Amino acid sequence: MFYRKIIPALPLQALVECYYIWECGDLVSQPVIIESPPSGFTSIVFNYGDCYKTSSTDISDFKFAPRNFIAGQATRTYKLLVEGKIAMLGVVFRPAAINTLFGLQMYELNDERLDLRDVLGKEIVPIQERLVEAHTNQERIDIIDKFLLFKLLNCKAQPNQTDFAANLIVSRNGIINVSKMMEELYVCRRQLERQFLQKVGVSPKYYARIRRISYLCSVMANKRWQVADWHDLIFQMGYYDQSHFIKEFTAFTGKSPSFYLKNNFELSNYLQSST
Amino acid sequence: MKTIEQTETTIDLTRKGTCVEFFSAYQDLDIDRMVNLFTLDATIDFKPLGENGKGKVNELGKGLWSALIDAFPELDNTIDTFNVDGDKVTCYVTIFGTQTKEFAGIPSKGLKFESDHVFVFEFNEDDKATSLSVDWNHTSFTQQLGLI
Repeated sequence: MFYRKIIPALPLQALVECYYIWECGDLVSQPVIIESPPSGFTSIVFNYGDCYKTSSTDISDFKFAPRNFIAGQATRTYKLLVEGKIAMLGVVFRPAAINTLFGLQMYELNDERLDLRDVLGKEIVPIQERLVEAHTNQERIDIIDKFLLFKLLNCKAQPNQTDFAANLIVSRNGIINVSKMMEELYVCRRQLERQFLQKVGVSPKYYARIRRISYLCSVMANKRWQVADWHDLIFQMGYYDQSHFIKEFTAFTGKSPSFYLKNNFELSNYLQSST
Repeated sequence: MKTIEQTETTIDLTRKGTCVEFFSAYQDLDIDRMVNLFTLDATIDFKPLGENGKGKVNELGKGLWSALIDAFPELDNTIDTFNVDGDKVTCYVTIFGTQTKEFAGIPSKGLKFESDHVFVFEFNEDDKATSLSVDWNHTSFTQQLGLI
């Protein structure tokens, strides 16, 4: 199993968080479920392996995701069901970047995986074909770098105060007073909220909640799901109290924190157990 | 099968757009624009009001929103997020405003309220909204306005 994150070309770094390559030399003979809490980022996935299924509900009604797709903001934990050949390249975008580059209304994409060709049109077809024909991952990265640089040079919109506010929430891991942030940025609440819905897909406050859960899950993963002091963690994450923390965690992941520690199927957990 | 899935997705997109338009009209305090997004016989259910909260969008809905806007002239909203499930689109919305007149028996003390609301829109095949249910914590709402 091979999973690697790659930093994009410098001019793209304001818009692209990273690329990732996920491949497996051997065929995965038994279906494997991987779950992912909401990350606060959006993505485009080019799949040159077997198609996989996804589910965003508690009842695991898996449906095939399109081979190449664009995914908006996840507002709850989702699951992947992978089997066969795993081979894909993902572009992880900063929260407002897809709107800036492609002009899409992001609230339309929440919790969705839409076929890339249906959304971006014919221009994406040669890119998809060249990625399949590429011999190395570096070639694939170069193809994507060039495509996104071309889009960046030709897009009319430029990152604005909404991009700045969303990236600020990311950098503070969602632990931020959004009302105070709006005051400090001298932005009108209604205007920022409208733009946020268009550019990110949710409200600034809701986005901060998503980002905080995402960060919390990454902290727990880094601790290899061994939390010695819950109170310390809850305090660090800026929750009012344990009750608030449990309510928030359960709302986004569908599991209580303690259950999640013992029973999650996150990719890093799977990679750890498969190596 | 893929075609069916894509068609379903396209319907969802149109419906989310309708919800955004509803709350945009709400922000502009334009009740006619809000009501025009529904079929003529669309129903409404303001859940915390029980049986008194059930009726037609263009009668009860229009009346209640008119009274609300009259009592809270700076009434505003924030859409937090959506959830699409079949023909239903659930919108999680924050409604906020400052009271300047009596509303539903609550005298004005000039207080502000900010309240999480859940709006559930149901759509027909033509993507017209056929029903709306609205839920909120009414106790918290009245407490914020100074009614103990």
